[in-house]
This record gives sequence, C-alpha cells and structure tokens, in this order.
Amino acid sequence: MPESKEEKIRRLNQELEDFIAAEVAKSQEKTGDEKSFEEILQEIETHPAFMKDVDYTKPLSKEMEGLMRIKYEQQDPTCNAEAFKEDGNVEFKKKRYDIAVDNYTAGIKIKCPDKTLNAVLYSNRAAAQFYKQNYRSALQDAIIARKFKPDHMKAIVRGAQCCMEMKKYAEASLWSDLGLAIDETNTVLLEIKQKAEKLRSIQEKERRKEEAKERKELAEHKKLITTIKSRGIRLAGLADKGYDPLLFTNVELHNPSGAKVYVDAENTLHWPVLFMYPEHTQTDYIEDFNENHTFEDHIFHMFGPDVPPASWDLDKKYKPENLLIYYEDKEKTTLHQISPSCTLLEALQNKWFLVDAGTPCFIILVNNSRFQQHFVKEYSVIPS
Amino acid sequence: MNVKDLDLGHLETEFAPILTVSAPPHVKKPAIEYFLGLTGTDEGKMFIGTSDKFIKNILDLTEDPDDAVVKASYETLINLATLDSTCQRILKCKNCSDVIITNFEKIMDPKYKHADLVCKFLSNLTRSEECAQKVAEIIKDTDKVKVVKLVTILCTKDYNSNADLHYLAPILANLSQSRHIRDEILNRDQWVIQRLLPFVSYMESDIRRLGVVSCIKNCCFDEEHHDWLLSDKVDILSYLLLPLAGPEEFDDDDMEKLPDRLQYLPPDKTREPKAEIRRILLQAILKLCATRDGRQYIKDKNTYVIIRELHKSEGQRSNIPAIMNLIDILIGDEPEPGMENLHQVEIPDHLKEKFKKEDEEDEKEYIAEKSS
Repeated sequence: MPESKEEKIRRLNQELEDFIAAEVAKSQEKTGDEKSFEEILQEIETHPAFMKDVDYTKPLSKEMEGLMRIKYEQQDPTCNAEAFKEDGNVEFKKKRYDIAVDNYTAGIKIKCPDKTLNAVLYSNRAAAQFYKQNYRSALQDAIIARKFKPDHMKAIVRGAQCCMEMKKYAEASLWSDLGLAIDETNTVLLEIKQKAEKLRSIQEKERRKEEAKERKELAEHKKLITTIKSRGIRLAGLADKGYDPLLFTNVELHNPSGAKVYVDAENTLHWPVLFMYPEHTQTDYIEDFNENHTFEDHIFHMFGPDVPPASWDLDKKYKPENLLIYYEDKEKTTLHQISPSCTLLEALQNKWFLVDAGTPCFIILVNNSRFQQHFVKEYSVIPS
Repeated sequence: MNVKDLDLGHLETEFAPILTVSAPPHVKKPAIEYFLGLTGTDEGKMFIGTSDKFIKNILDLTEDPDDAVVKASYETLINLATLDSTCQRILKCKNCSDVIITNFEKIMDPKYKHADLVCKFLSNLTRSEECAQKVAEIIKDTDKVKVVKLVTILCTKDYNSNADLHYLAPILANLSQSRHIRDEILNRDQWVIQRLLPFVSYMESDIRRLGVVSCIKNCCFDEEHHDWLLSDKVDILSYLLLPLAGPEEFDDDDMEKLPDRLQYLPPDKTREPKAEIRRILLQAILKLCATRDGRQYIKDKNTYVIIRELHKSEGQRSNIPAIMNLIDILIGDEPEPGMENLHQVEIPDHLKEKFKKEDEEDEKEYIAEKSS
C-alpha cells in the first residue's frame, strides 16, 4: 500500500526539474552556434527511446526514418551504441578522457531506443567530463542521464559531486536527498550530504557576515550624513537635491591618505582639511581636524615659535600673528575671511561655505604681503 | 438522554449489532454519530471507554466504505484516547498489533483521506509512556512500519495532499520515549535525526515544531550518542540554539566563537514564540551538558552569550529556572573528578526532596501562566 518512496522521488524530481529549469534559463542567456541546453532537453522528448507508437500519418522524424531503415537492413542501433560505450569505457580506464567523451558522444548520437543504455552513455560521459573538470557539462549530462533513467544512481552521485565542485551546496544537498530516497544507506551520498550541509552553513554565514558589514556601513553613513546635515553644513551636490542619506559620494574624496570625515562616539565630526598657500603653490593637509578645535590651534601647531619654518617659507614670514584665513565662494568669486579664533564648525556653518569633495579648503595668506594685496584684487572680500 | 441513565449491558446489546461494517448505512451512520456525541463529554468518554465491545466495533468501523462513518469513528476514537485507561484498553484488545500497524500504514499512504485523524488518534493513544512503549514494541516486531520512513514522511512537505500530518510529530515524540525508537532515529548510517533538525524552526505549524523538538530532546537522553550529536555530522547544538537566538549583535570575538549557523544573524531574527518550546530546547541543551566533553564543547561554542540574551528577553517567568540551570553550568567551574558526569552524581535524599519540591512549584507556576 505505501507508495511513499515513489511519492518522495516524484517530489524530489520536481525540485530537480525546477533547478534544471533555472539552469536552462541561465544557459539561454548565452548565444552561440552550439545548441542550448534547453534545445538538448527538448530533443530528448522526441528521442526514439521515448517513443511508444510510430505515427505513420505524419512524416517520420529523421531519426525514426533512420531507425526504420536500419531495422530493415538488419542493423541494430543499440548494438552500435553499445560498441561505442565499450570503446569509451576502455579509453576511460586508460584515463584518456577526451577520447572517451568522443566515444560516448558518438554512442549518444545514434539515439538508440534503449533507455538504460542512453542513461549509461550520458552518465559515463558525465564521469569523463567530471575528470576533465568540466563540471558544468558533467552536470548537464547527469541531468540528461536521469531523464532516461530517473533512478540511475551513478548519474545522481555524479550530479551531487558536480554541484559540490561548483560550490552549489544547496543543489548538492538536493541531489543527495534524491539518491538517499532511493538508497537510504548510500555512503557516498551520505558523505556528500554531510559535507554539503556543513559547507552550506559556512557559505551562508559568510553571506550574512557580508550583509551585516554592509548594514553597519550603511548605518554609519546615515549617521554621518544626518550629523553633518543637523549642523547646517552644506555639502556640494546635496544643496540642490535635498537630503539624501544615500549620497555617500558627497563625503567621499580622493586623497592619498584616504582620510574621510567621520563622527566619533561623542558625536563630534572630524574633517580632513586642506590649507592652501597660493603664494608658494603649497598646501598642508590636516587629516583629522576636530570640528570644535579652532584655526589658531592648528596654525600655532604648524607655525608657532617652537616649530622650524617650512622649507618653502624662505622669508620666514609665516607666523601665527601674520596669517589671514579665507574661504572661497567659487560661484560668486568672493573671499570670506575667518577669524583664527573661530572653530572649524563655526567656519563650516558659515552661510556661504560649501564643502566640496568632502574636504573643506582654506586659503592662507600673509597679511600685508604684496602677494596678498594682489591676490584679493581678484575677489570681493567679505571680512569676518 | 443523560449518560447516567444508560446501562452499559443494555446499550451493548442494542448498539453492538448496528456498529458494524455489515450494518445498513442508514443505521450505522447515525449510530456512530451518536457515539461521537456521547464521547464529547467526560462522562460519555468514561462510559463508552469501559466497553471492550464498543472499542472493537468502533475500531472496525474505521475500515467502513462510507467516508462519513470512517470520519466519525476516528473522531470518536480521538475522544476516547484522551483517557489513559481507555488507551490501555485499546492496546490490550486481541488484534491490537494489526490495528496499530494498519493505522500506521494509513499514515504512510500518501493518498489516504483521513490521515490527519489517524495521526491525532495515534498521538493521543501514545501519550503515556506505558502506551508509547507498547506501540513501540509493536513497531519493533513488524517490517511494515519503519521509524526512518515515518521521519522521512514528517520531513516531506505535502507528502499527502489530503492531510497536513502535523500530528505525526507528537506521535514520534511520544514513541521516542522508547529506547528502540530512539536507536532508529539515531541511526548513524542514515540521514534521520539530521532530517528532523531543521524542523525545530518550522514556523508553519506549532504542533509539528513542538513534536519535533520534544522528539529531539528525548534523543539527547542517551549519553553514548552525545559526542556524535554534537559533532559536525549532526551539529545538533546549532539547531537547538538557533530558535533561542534573537537579533542581537555581538562583538567579533564573541561572534566568531558561535557555531556557523548562529553567526551574524539578521536584525529581523526572531526567537521561538512558544514558551514551552523554548523550555524544551533549554532542557535538551542541558542534557547534552551531562558529560565533560559535551559541556566543554557547548561552552567553547559560546552558548553562554545566546542564553544570556535569551534571559534578558524571556517573558515567561517559569522559563527562568531552566535558563538559570543552564547558565550555572556554562559559567560554573568544572565539577571535581568523579562528579563529572552530572547524570551519575549521587544526590542526597534531603536535597532530592527539596529539588523536587522546587520543580513542582515551577511546574505549577508554568501551568498557571499557560492557562491564564
């Protein structure tokens, strides 16, 4: 009475069919002279081995015509296919897999009506392909072998092995289930099943880990953009488009150190900042400028009495008390002066300040130098 | 008519000839439906359940050609089998082996219409340990019912398009009280318990999930299997812990120590919603802590952080003792030599008494919470 095994096999078959359908969809994407996997599968349907009756009212297929002819010429296609199989097996044993594949292919092309023999030919070619490490072709042959003989154990084992090699552990598990439904104690399949489950759990963990990393980065970016926005700081590109937390590129920048604005645990922003000295076409790059620190803090640190002058400062005129700090409004060609005692945050909150490429830039000039007087002529200057 | 006014002897002479497959349909159908109504009350159940004759007749009617009669017969049996005394009576009847085997065959038949009713009947019938052992003996002595097959059916979605078979899970749970059944489930040459394990997270049916979890807990009873259960080959700990884990994130150190299946769970990860199932999972892990090696493995896999977070979120007060018992072992020092097998430690009688009392109080509280 119980037909459970058959039922189970039927279900597993369906699952595998779905998998094959997916494979077919994939193979369709490729174009080329070779027949697609789907075409091969469709042809199987008209394979003489699946024919129950010959419909003489319709023109016979080429294969059937051939079969009929051979039949009357007293030649048996099954014998021929069998001979190719034997040849293939001999080559296979000699590990000459290329020739073995050719032999099995020749046998397959005969399209003999013996289902088991066709299953064996495909399954053997799958084996040869497997040893040639053509796992994709081997898997396809294993699938076709099962079309001829659904319980062909060698084809099932081969299918599972191919999936393992291709790191498709979920599918390998499916093939194992299929085989174990027929033979519950098949040790090879039990081992594959075990390995597949183990590797699958690792694979899935790695995927979750990657996702967790992405989630964390996304949350950090969101927090950063929200923090910048809440300060009233304008980022180039954001102004027109409004608030979009996904516009990470607005805080991305390309500099050799890779420093990037970040928000620390105390919710303080740290910016990479560029000081430009146009008189000498020189720049200083401050990787981590705490928004609550003042310009004085940094300038003193860079140009204070205890610091030797920069190599380009031949006249030794860059002293904290001499320096003027500006930022440029490119659109309006205005220069805005900033008091050295103001913090970076205060400077950035300035109505006209626009952070470009994630790096605030400031122009430093020496007060009353000829260059300064000449430079500011190009702009309308707005004092702090 | 009031049940008290009925006379069993009289009823048997009147009804027994009607409650047979050979009786005409227009008579037997109302008759069995009347019995179904009777067994809907406690008095009726007790009354009918004392009659071997009726039990035999009703069992016979489950083979009736009329579906409506079969259905009513099974429903009557389901009612009757809620009483342990009746279950024992059923299992003492002359052809009870055949009855049990036939019913299991009906469960294994992927087309049988009333398979769900059969499952409910057998799950009620095997509830007590004594009855479960008796049924397990019957299964042991026949080739027609294979435990592995039952497990495979349980783990096959849509096995029978006419039935859910959810109640097969409690049958297996009940039967797994028997050593023989457990040995079949723990067969190392086949894929049996490994097939069951993913169903501890089967959210489509509470019944099936509860049954599978109970069955697996029973399988943790035999210490000689602990090493194998905890090994990569089964990886039981992952499956027992996964439903207890929430969406909490751990630092990388803590995370990497967890079993693979527990690492980097998504923020929408939810815990097992049924308090009873959470408790059984905890008990199963506790059982696996019995041996020194098992305990060490469970500690190494950072089980503690999962249970710690569970403790924080546990809403069922009566689950707290089970959590604390496990935490004590996970963070406690290793016992002295000679005491390493926790199941074999001799407990003084006065402490035994005390523990028993505490457990009973927990149980009472649990039942109170459950009913409220």
